[in-house]
Amino acid sequence: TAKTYGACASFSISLVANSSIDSPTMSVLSLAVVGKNNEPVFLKEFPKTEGRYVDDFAEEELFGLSFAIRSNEPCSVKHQFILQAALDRFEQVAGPPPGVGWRTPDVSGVDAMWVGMLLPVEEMRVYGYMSTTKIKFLAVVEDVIPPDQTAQNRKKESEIKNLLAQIHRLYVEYTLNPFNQIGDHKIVSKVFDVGVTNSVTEYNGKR
Amino acid sequence: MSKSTAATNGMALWQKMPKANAELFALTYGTLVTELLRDYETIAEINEQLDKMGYSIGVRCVDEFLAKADQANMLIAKCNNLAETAEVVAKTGFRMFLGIAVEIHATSESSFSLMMYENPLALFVELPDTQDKNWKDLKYSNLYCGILRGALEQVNLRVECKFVRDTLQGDDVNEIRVELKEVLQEGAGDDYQEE
Repeated sequence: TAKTYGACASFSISLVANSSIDSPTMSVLSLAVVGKNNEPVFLKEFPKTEGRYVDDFAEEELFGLSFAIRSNEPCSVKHQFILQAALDRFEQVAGPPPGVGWRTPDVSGVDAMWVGMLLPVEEMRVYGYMSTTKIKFLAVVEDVIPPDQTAQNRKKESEIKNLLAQIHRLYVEYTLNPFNQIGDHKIVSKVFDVGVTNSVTEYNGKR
Repeated sequence: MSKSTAATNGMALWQKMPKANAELFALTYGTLVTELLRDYETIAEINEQLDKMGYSIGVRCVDEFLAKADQANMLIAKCNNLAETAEVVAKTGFRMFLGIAVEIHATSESSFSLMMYENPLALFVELPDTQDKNWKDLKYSNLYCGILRGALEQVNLRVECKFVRDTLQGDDVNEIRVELKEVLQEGAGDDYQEE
């Protein structure tokens, strides 16, 4: 009985420890859509207002990085830096030869367009997704799963893949509007904006 | 012609018509409108052009409508008043060509309103928000007004149609107001005026 008690005790301890990681806050912090000539077509940040440490705030205020360049721009400078860095990595992985091929053979559809994690930055990770027409979708996601939790990591990646596929669908609907310019124009569309915000809020809300 | 007959006729004719891809249809119309935007200066001119195009479509549509109905052994009875005409147009005509349900509201001796809840021409369309043109005045689906005008003129009714509510402009339903101006006696066009 002592042994079983001991086992139960350790089991319950590990349960307690896991429950805090069980529902980690892996919210999407920003999203970018980049055209085939690497011009930014859509940038949006989804700042988290709760759960931030006081230290984080102070450091960002110091360099003014948390502010958007202009008050009407939807994405802060810090995230734009991160996205630019991720884009370089994207080029490496998915660009013309000698680009390292990322595509696993014999996959099609959403799986074929999923590039995967591009780079880790501070406590965030950037994931990428590229359509067949070389339109790139990037998501900066908060990273709180330790790397040894492979099952959770894989689950998270597939959820992000689905989110980016959803954004891709919204982008396709945007291009179907005859009034919208495709190419190197920024996306100015309420329907697209609302759709993206809803998708991300739904994803974040599930955490 | 009773209400249900018009509707059933409409459904039956719709089944027999060859179908086209809705997205292709909407995209084609969309490029047409954007081309017009490039060609003409003001929004009013574009609305007028769409009406003219609709007119030439309507003139041909009505013959097809009556011919197909004959082939299907349906009796499209002579309409005795404007309300019956409205029934046939909304329930049979629109259903046959576009597959959509259209309702009639606000009928009077000389006018009626057609309410369309879905608009196949405006699939995926969102009007831009820029300041350079007066987008609020653009009647994107003005083609319908021209079609109605052309079709009804072939059956001796001169009407004026206009869009009063448009889902693209933010309203919850599309409403076309049709007003009867004149019942043409001879049914002859302008070419025959001298005779």
